[in-house]
Amino acid sequence: MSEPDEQDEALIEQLRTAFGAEAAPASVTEAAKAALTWLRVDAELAELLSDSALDAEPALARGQAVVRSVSFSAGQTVVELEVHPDGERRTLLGQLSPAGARTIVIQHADGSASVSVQSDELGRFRVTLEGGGTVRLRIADDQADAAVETAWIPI
Amino acid sequence: MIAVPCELPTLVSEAGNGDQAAWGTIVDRFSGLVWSTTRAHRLSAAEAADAAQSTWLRLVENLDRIEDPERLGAWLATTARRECLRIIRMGKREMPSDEEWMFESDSGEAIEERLLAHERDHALWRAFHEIEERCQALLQLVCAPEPPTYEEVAAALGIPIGAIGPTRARCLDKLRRQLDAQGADLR
Repeated sequence: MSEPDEQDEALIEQLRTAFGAEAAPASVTEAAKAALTWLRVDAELAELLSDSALDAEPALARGQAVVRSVSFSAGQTVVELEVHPDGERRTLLGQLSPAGARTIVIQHADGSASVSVQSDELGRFRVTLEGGGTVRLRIADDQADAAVETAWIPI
Repeated sequence: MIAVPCELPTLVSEAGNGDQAAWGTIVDRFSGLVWSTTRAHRLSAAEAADAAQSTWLRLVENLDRIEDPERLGAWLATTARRECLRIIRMGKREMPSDEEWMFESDSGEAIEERLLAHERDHALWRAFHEIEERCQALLQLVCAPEPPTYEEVAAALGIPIGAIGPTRARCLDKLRRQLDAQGADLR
């Protein structure tokens, strides 16, 4: 009869074999390696301020139509976003402050084509994407302000 | 793989300067940890891939502000856990049932093949899925190819470090009793 610790280690070893040493799929590791191409070089990071999907109210996740709202900030710049799914499509309603007409580029982490949209004088914008995925917004620089990139979010 | 000097603070700083080799070394070292964290949250393969990628993007975003690079593993595990919870709460899909979770993915099929080849493993697998989910998640992490540190396991599961040793022992005990109940003989 072996000691409990030895028994535990033996069982762990058997489990490890049973799991077949599940390593990350090659595609996942490759995508991770490619992620460095998204390194910020000329923009300020707008950090996630809030994301309703991170608020732990499981009741909201089940069946109820609750609008997902996300906000980011970089210094004075604040971006507020609502995500409206419609099948595969995602409509983003946004509000930029300080308000102003800026060019906003929605970048996809998987490398699919970026989509541009212009905010109006009040800083509002609306854009419909063909699919979800992981995206970030890049607010292009203008005479007054440097470029800003938001944190990545799944939508 | 060639053993390169790979102090984490150096790697993080080099990756932050756009050094792909340094970044690749970081990914290779922690890819298993991030992946097993996502799998421990019972996501489908596609969701797990999304959560893993979000985790790595989050690191790219924060390379210039990681405060304690020596503890990068724990940072990644914590981040991966957060991304998993976000994807679950986005409620895009229903949570997959155990069976789908086991078999829908490539890796699930690969696992299945291996298991069918070994009756002993199969019994273990059945017993494993009978014990509580919390135990499954912990054991899955502990049995990862490159076992994470207790600190990383704690971060991945959101439980105190001090609880891991006792929980691990308790979970193994449950698994053992489940195997006994099935009449499986692992010796």
